[in-house]
Amino acid sequence: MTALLELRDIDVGYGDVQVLRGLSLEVHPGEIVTLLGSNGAGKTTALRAVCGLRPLLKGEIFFEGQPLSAVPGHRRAALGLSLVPEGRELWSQLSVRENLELGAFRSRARAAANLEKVFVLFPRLRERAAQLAGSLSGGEQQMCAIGRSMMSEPKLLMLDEPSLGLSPLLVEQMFKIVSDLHAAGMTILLVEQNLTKALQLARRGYVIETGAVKLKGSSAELLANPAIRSAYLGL
Amino acid sequence: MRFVELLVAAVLLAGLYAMMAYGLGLIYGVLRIVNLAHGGMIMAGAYLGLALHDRLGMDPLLSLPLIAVVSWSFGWLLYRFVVRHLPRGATGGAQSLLLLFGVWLVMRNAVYLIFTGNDQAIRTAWSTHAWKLAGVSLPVNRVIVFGLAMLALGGLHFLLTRTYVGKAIRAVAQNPDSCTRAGIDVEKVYALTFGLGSALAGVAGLLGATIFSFNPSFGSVELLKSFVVVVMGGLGSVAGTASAALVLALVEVFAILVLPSYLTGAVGFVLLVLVLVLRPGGLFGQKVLG
Ligand SMILES: Nc1ncnc2c1ncn2[C@@H]1O[C@H](COP(=O)(O)OP(=O)(O)O)[C@@H](O)[C@H]1O
Ligand SMILES: [Mg+2]
Repeated sequence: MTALLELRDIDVGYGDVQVLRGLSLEVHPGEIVTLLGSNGAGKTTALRAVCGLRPLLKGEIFFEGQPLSAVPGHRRAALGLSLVPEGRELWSQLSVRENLELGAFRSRARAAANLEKVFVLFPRLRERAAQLAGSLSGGEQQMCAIGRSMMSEPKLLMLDEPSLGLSPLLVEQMFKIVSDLHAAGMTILLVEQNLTKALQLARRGYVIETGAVKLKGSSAELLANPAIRSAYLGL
Repeated sequence: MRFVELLVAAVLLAGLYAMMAYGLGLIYGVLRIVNLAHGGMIMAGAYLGLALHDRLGMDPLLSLPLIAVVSWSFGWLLYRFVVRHLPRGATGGAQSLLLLFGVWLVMRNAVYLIFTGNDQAIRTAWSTHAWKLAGVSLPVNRVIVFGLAMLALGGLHFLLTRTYVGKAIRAVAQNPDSCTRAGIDVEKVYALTFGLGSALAGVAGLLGATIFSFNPSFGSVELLKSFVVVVMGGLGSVAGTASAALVLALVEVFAILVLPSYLTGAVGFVLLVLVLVLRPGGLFGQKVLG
C-alpha cells in the first residue's frame, strides 16, 4: 500500500543552519501517527516543509505517491493536506466565521455545508462566530484552528502541539477531539512533546533528535524503551 | 457663513486625501512596503488625464475607468517584475524604499520631457461652476471629486469585508503563511494589492488634477499628506482613514484663518509630529486591515 504521506531522506535548513538531516517517515491511510522529540528537534520545521513553507535542500516528500517538489505551497491544500500550526496562527483580526470560510478557500462550493459540520463538531465556535478570532480563549482558538483545517476537507490532518499552552482540563479535551476525529476516519499526524499522552492515542510513533529519526516503532515498544523512559519520561 | 463654507471645503477636500492615503496604507498594510512611487502614480494619473483630455477630448469622468485600469496594471507589473524580487521587512526595507523612489524619479523625469515643467490644468465644462445651497457655495468639481472618492472607498470597503478575495487580502496582511496553508496564492494577492493601491493613487491624481494645477512635482506634497493620514488613521481601516483625512483637511483649511499662507502647507506635518509624540499608535488605533 502506498503511504498517504512520505518524507524520504529530507534536509531542511534556515540560512546556514541545517535543521533536518535525512529525515524519513511515513503515514498510511487511516493511521494516527505521532512525531515526538524535544524542543528544537525539528518537528515544526518538518511540518512546514510538508506545507511547502520551507524548501527542501535534499530528499523528496510524497503525498499519495505524488512528489510534492513541483507543487507550490498554496496548491497543497487542494491535494488534501492540512496543518493546524503550532501556536494556532489564526487571522486574529478576522471573525471566527471568516477564519473558517477562508479555510475553505479551495473548496468554496461546499463551504456552507462544511461550516455546518464544523459548528456541529465545535458548538462553541457557532456561538462565537461573529467574534474576532484573537478574542477567543486558548482552547477556543485551538478549536477554531482545527475547524479551519477541517473546512478544506483534508485527507491528512497534521497537528503541531495542539495542547501547547492549554490548561490540563483542556489538554484532555484536545486529545479527546483528536481521538474522535481519528475514530471518524481521519488520518492524523500528531506532533507532541507530551509523550505519554501522544503514545496512548497513536498506534505508532517516531522520535526525532537533531533533525533525524532516532527511534521508531509501535506505541507500546516506544513506551517500554528504556532510552525513552529515561530521556523523555524521567523514569 | 464663512465658517460653514470652510467646513464644507474641508469635508470635500478630505475625500481626496482619504483616497490618496488609502492606497498607500493598503500596500503598507499587506506588503509591509512603503510605496515611495505612490507620489509618481498620483502624478501619472494627472498627466494621463491631461493627455486624454487635451489630445482626445476625453472628459476626466470618462477617462477615470481607463486610468484606473492603466494604473492598476502598472502597479501589478511593477510588483511582478521588480518589487517581488526585493527583500522586505525590517532588514530589507531600505532596498524597496530606494528602488521605488527611483521609479518615482524616472516617472517624474519622463513626464518632464514629454510635458515640460510648466503648470498644467484640466479644464472641463464643469470645473468653474458652483452650486448654491442655503447661501453656501459648492464648487461642482469638488463635489464630484468628493462623491467619486467616497464611491471608490465604499467599493473598496465592500470588497475587503464582503468578498472572498477581499477577505484573502486582509488575511494575507495578518498572516501570510496561514494563507498559503489554506490554499491562497499569496504572491497573487500581493500583486493584486499593489495594483489596487496604484489604481487608487492614479485615480486620486486624476481627480486632484481637475481641482488643482499641477506640474511634474505633483504628488510629493500629496505623498507626505498621505503619510500623515496613514499614521493618524491606522492601516487599512476605511473609517480610520476617512476620519484622519478629515482631521488633516480641517486643520489645513482652518489654519488659513490664523496663519500666513506660506505656513499653511506645514500644518499637516506639525500635526504628524504631534500625533507621533502623543499617540505613537495612531489616533484611531493600529488595527491591520481588521
Ligand atoms: N525561522 C527560523 N529561523 C532560524 N532558525 C529556526 C527558525 N525556526 C526554527 N529554527 C531552528 O530550527 C531548529 C528546529 O526548530 P523547530 O522545527 O521549531 O523545532 P521543534 O518544533 O521540534 O521544537 C531550532 O534549533 C530552531 O532554533
Ligand atoms: Mg515546534
